[in-house]
Amino acid sequence: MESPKQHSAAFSRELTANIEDFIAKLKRGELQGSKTVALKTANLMRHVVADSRWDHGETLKQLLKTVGRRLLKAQARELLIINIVCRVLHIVSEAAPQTNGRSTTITAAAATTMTASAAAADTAGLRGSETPAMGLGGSVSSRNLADQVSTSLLRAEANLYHTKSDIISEINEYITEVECAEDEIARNALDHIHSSEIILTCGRSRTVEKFLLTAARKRKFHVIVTECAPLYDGHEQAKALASPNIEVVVVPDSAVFAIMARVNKVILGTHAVMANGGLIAASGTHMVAAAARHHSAQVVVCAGLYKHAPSFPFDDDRFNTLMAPDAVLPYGDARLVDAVDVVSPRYDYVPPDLVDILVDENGGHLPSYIYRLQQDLYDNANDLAWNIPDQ
Amino acid sequence: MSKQEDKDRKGKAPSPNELAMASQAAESTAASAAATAAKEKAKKEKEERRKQKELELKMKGIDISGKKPKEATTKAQRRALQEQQRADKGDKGNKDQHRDTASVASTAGGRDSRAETASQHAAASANPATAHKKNANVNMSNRAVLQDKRMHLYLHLDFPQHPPSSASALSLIPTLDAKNTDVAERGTGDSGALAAGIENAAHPPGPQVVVGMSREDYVAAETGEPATVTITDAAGGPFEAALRDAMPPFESGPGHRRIAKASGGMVGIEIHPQIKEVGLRMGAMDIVGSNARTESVLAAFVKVIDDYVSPRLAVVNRSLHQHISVQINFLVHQRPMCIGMGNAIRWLKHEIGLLPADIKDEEAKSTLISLIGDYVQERISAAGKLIAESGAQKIQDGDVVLTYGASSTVQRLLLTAHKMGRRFRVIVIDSRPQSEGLGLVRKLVKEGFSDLSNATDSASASSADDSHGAYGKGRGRSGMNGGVTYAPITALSFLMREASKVFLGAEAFLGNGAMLSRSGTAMVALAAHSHHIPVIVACETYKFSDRIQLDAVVSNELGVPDELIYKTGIPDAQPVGSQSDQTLSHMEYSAYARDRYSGRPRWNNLSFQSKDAANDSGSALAGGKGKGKGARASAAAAAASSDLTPEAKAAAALKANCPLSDWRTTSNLHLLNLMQDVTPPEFVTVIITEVGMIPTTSIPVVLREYKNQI
Repeated sequence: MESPKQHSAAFSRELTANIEDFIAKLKRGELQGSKTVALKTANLMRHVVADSRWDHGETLKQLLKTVGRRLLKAQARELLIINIVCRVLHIVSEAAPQTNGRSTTITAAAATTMTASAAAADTAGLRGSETPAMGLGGSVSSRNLADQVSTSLLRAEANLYHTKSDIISEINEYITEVECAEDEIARNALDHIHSSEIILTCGRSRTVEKFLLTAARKRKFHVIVTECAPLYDGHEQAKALASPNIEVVVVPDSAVFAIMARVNKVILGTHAVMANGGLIAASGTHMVAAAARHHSAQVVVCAGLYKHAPSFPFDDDRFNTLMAPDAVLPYGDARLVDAVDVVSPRYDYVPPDLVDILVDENGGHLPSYIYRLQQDLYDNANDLAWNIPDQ
Repeated sequence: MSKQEDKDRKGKAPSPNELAMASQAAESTAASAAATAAKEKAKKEKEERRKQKELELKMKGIDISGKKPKEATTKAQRRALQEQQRADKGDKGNKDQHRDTASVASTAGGRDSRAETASQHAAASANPATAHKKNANVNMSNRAVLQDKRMHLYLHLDFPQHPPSSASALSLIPTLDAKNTDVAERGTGDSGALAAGIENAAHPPGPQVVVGMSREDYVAAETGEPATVTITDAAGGPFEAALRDAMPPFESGPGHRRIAKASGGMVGIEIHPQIKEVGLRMGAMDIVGSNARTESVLAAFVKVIDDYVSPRLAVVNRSLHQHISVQINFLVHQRPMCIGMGNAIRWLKHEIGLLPADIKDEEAKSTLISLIGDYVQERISAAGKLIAESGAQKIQDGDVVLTYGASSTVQRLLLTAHKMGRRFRVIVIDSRPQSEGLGLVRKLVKEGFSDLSNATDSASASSADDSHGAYGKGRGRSGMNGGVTYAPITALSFLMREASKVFLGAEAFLGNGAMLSRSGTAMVALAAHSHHIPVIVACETYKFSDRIQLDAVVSNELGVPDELIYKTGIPDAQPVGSQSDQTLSHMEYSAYARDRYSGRPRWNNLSFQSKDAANDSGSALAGGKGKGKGARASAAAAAASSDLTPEAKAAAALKANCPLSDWRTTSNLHLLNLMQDVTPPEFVTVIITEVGMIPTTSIPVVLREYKNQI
C-alpha cells in the first residue's frame, strides 16, 4: 500500500539503513531462532521511536505500522514480527496518554497511575506472586479507565520529549523481558518436573533447555530427545542437555510412538503460540503431541510471552513454509529429484486440544486462557489488523 | 597351490616368522606351552593332513566338523589361562612359572620371553585378558582385538569350518595365504590387500594375530557372551554397559537384545555357506523386509538340505533337525528373526519332525525341498499376488494413497493398481535411519507413477519432453491423477490431510491384533486414525503370530546407534568414506551381533579410526578400500606430521557438523535406534490377506484355522 518513500522523510538516514539491513536479512533467511528475530525487531522498533520524526502518538503508530508492514513483506510468515510490532504499538498507545494526563486533572492523574501499574503488570509485574485472576481484574478496570481518559484527552498537546523517553524505556523494559524470558520460565521448572521422570522433548529449544537444566539442579531425570528430521537440531539439544543429572537418549522421529509408552511428560518448545492456544512449532511436533495424547502423557509447552501471536489460525498453512528439499532427498539423485515432490515443511500446527499447559514467565496457563492473556498484551482489534494487506 | 606351499613349509626349517608364530601360540597358552611344545610338531602335521583332507572334501561339497580336537585344546587353553591368571596374581609367580617352563622345555621358555620383549602389542592381540593388565592403552589393544576379529571374519567367510584352536591354527596359515594370493591374483584386491596389510602391520609376526586370539573370543563373539575381551575401563568409551545405560529406566525390558546362546555342542558344527551369506547380508541390512528375508532364508535352507549328508547310523529327521538348528542359531546371531521367518522355520522344523524315521536321505531331501517350494509359493508369492490384486481394487481414480517406508506387499499392490490403469497419487513417508521409502519412490518413478503426461486432465502436452518440463513447478505438479510425493515423517501431519487412504505393510500381526512393523508405522496409523482416513494393511497370513505384545518397549530390535549420528542432506555429515565403501564386500561392518548392537566402536565407524589414526601410530586402520597397507605403513609419519589425511579432515568436518559424533565419550548421552513399532489394533481399519479382508480381531481365528490344518 505504502511505498517505502512515503515515510522516508520521517526516517533518518541511519534508521533507513537499519531497516533495509534488517529486511535484507529477513529475506535471506539469515535470522534463525525466534528470540533473535524478536530482539532484532524490538531493537528496530526502538530505533524507529527514537530516531524518526513524529509529533503525536498516532503518527508514531502509523510509522511503526509502516515499518512492520515492510518487514512482513520481506518475511510474511514470521509471526514474531507481528507480535513485537503489536506489542510496541500497545506500549505506544499506553504511554502516549500517560504523559498527556500529567498536567491536567486529578482524575486523570489517578487514571495514569492505574494505567502505569497496569502497564507494569502487563510487562513485568505479573511475573511475581500475583495470581492471574488479580491481574485480569486489575487490567480490565484500568483498561476501561485508560480508554476513557485517553479518548477525553486525545486532543491535548503531547509532551513529546517525555512521551518519547517513556516509550523508549518501556520498550527497553520489554526487550529485557524478552531477553530474560527463558530464565523466568525456567523458574517454574520445579513445579513441573519430578525426580526420575522420563521426559520427552522434540528438536532444539533454548527455553526447554534452560527449563530442564534448571530442574536438573535439584532433580535427576531422563530426557528423551527426538532429532526432528530435516534439521536434526535435536542432536544439539541432546548435547546441550547431557549433564550429570540428566540422562539423555536420542531417538529418531519414527520411534516417538514406541517410546511414548514410557514417557511421563512431554515438554515442548514452540515457535509461536496462537490466540486459541494452538502452537506453531517445529514440524513433527504435532505427531509428538498426538502420540502423547494417545498415551495420556501430559504436554507442557514452554513459551515466552513474546511468542504469543494475536491471531487465530484458521488456515494452518498460512504460517508455514516449505524448506529446501535437499535435506530430505539429496540433489545428487537428480533424476529422482526431478520426478518426485519432496515436502519438507518447517512448522507444524498443533491444535490446542493436544496441549495441556502453556508455561510462560508468569506460570502455567490453559490453552483456552491464552486469548484473554493476549488481550492484556496487545491492543484492541483495531490495531491488530494493521498487518492485513488491505487495511 | 596350497599343497605346494605346505610341502615347502615341511621341507625347510621353521622360518623366523613361523617361530614367532609358534612363540605367540606358546605365549597364549603359557603354562601348557611347555607340555604341548613337544607334541606340537606331531600335532601340526596331523592337523595339516586333516586340513588337506578337508579341503579335498570341501571341493566335493562335504564338510567335516573338527569338533573333537578343538574341544580338547580349548580345555587345555582354558586351563592354561586360569593358571596364568593365578600366576599373575603373585608377583614373582609369573617369573617362577616362566623359569619352570624354561627348565622343562628351554625352547618354549626362550620363545616366550622373546615374544614378550618383542612386542607388547602382539601380546595384546594374543591374549587380551592378560594384555589389559599389562597394556595401559586400552584403546590400542582393543583395536588389535577388533582387527583380529576382522581376520576371523575372513576365515569365517572363506572356510565353512570354524577356525581351529591356537595350536592347530598354525597349519591354517598356509591355506589362508594361498587363499589370499588366490584372491589377489583374481584381482578383487580387497582381501588380498588386507592380508598384506596384516603382514606388514606393526604387530610383528602378522598372521598369528589369528592364532593368538582365536577361539575364546571368537566363540564369545558368536554366542554373544562377554568374552575375555570385556573392557572395563570407562575411559576407553562406554562399552557393553552402554547399551544398558542407554535405557536406564527400562533395564529389564526394552530393546535389551538377548542374543540366543549357543550351546557348547553346536560350536563345531559348520554353518552352510549359503546360510552365512544370507545371515551376513541380513545382518548388514542388505536383505531387509519380512518377505525377502523369509524367502532368502528358505531358499538357503533348500541348499542346506540339498547338501546335507546325514551321519552314519543317524536318524535323518533327528540329525537334520539338529543341523538346521545350528544354522538358525547363526542367523539369529546376525539379526533377530522376524516373525514371518520364525513361523516359516517353525513350520520347517515341524515338517522335518513329521518325516518317518526310516526314510532315506534322498527321499527326505526331495520331500522337504518340494515342501519348502510349496510354502514359499503358497504362503508368500501367491499370497502376495492375491493381496496385491484384491488390494488394488480398493484404489480408485483420484485417490491419494499414503504409505510409509517400503513394504514389498504394498509396493506390489500399488504397481498392480497402476497397471490396472488407476490414476492416483502416492505419498511416501519415510524416516531415518533406514530411509527405505526412497527405494519405493525409485521403483514407483521407474514404473511411471510420476509421469503425468497421459493423465486425462493434465495440461501438459503428451510428449515426454513437455511433461518433463512440467516438472519442477513445485508442489502443484502432483495432482489427483498421479505423482509421487516424498516426505520425512515429521511432515506427516502436514500431508495426512491430503491423503484419502493409507496403505501399510506389516512385519507381523500379533495375537491381540496389534501390528508389528517398522518403527514409525504407528505414528502414521495414529495420524490417519485421527484424520479419519482408513488404514489398510497388506499382510500375508504367514506373518500372523499368537504372541501378544502391548507396546513396542517390552521387546524391540535395536539398530546400530551410530546411524543416528549422521545427517541426511548435509554432505559433511555423512559417514567418512564414500557410500560404496559401506558394502559387505568391503567389510565395512561387523559380522558380530555383539559389535553391532553394543556400545563398542564398530569397525565401520571410520570416524573413530581416522581420528585415532592421528594419535595412534601402531594400529591405525585406514578406512577406504585397498588403503590398509599404505595407511598403516604411513601411520607413524601421519602421526608425526600435522598434515591431515582426507579421512582425518572428513572426520573433523563430521565432528563439526554432527554434535553426536562423540556421543560415546559424552557421559549421560545415549543413542537409541529402535527398529520396531507396535501399532494398536484400533488404528487398523482392515487387513488385506490372501484369505480375504479381515479386521484385526480375526487374527486369532485365522491362526486357529491354520493350526487345525496342520
